[in-house]
Amino acid sequence: MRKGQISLVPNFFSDILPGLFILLLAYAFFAFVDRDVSTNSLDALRFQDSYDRAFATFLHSSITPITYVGDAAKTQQATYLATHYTYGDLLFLATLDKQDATLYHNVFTSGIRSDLRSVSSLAFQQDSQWFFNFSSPDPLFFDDQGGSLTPAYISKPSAQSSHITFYYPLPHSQIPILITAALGTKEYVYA
Amino acid sequence: MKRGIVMVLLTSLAFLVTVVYLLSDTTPLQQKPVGVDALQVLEDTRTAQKVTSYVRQSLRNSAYAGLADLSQEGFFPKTVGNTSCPVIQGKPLLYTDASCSYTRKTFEAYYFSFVQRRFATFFPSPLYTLNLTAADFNFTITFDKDFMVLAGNASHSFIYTGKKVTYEFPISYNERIAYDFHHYTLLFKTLQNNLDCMQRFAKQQTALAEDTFGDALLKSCSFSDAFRWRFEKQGDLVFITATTKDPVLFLDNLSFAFAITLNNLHLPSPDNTLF
Repeated sequence: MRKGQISLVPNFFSDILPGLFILLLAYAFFAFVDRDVSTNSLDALRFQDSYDRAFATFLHSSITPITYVGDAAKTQQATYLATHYTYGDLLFLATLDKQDATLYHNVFTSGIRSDLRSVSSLAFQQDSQWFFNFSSPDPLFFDDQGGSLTPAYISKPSAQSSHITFYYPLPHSQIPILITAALGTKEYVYA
Repeated sequence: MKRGIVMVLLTSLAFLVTVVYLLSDTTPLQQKPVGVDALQVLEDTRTAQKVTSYVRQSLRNSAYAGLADLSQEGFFPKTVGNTSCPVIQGKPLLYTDASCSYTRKTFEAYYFSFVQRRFATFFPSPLYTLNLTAADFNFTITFDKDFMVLAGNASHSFIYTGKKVTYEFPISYNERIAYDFHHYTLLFKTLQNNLDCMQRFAKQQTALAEDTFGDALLKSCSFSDAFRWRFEKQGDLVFITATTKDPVLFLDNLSFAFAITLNNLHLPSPDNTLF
């Protein structure tokens, strides 16, 4: 290079490296945005949507009568419930009427198994068995059945190996009820 | 040489722009499934449904809890308007004070106060970030044959901001509870129909022992058989307990305990009949 001539050859450290750094930042930014979006999977959202709607309808619907074969008194009680209450009422009534709390539990559980079986989510309906255990609104509803109940107290739906947990507050014991759905195994309701 | 370097710089810039464009344009299409946005909007809008559902169920629960409270506290208010009603041995003394007549309106207001008290307990903390209070929800209770209806509207709309949308929604409710307090009506009807009979019986049977008074009275007058009656005579006073034979909703029965005096009965005027 001759004396006095300005060099136009790009310097790697001052010219090229900042460009590469900006490129990396841009990549990292878009990669981060995409990861955030993908945490709520389509399946999880679809299931939650179907389940939420079905659950709300279920709570305010009339009770389907149950016949207890060979137990006329129990059948009569269940028929009385069917003509007087909604399913949502049963959760609260169990707190007022401890004596019949088990009956309320049985009728509620039977109804929810029957009604919510039709929740339409292709990913979660196939081969799934519906089981409900309640610890809300009263310990009388607690029915472990030997399972390992580990409440997952999160309010945001998340898809983690076929598990979905979401949050449904009910005015029964001023404690929110959490519903966890597990593909093909069990469903739990925690409070 | 100078031209060559400018070309290298321009090419690098074009490469950078292309990479950024491709990253921003193509990545979401690859990783974000179609429908996620729509479902997230639905999730947001479901909040209105959940809040409404919560308020509706709270009203229903309050109706049941109010009935339980009423059953424990007694079915006769201690005051009517500004008048304190007479009480003897902890039991209301009926038909002695004309200014303390229990009417349907009196009873409805009394029950309503229990329901309101319970309803206020169902909003202890924000629900889906909304600060709700019982005062936001006006309601009335109307009675019909076999059921009562708790109905009304929120005093204002609520604004909810979700992940995707912000929207305003009203709340209204119309809850039907399968009980109409017809036992209360029936109790007063049967009492009023038998007041003359009771007075006559008391005058004729002055020599009757107090422990046999109840059974004899029950046979002489025609009390409703929807109740189990217990009469206890103490001088001029008769303490009465009427217990329903059938269960009432979640309660085994309703029990009405009160007293009347046989010497100083103020029969309600036709325009102030009970129920």
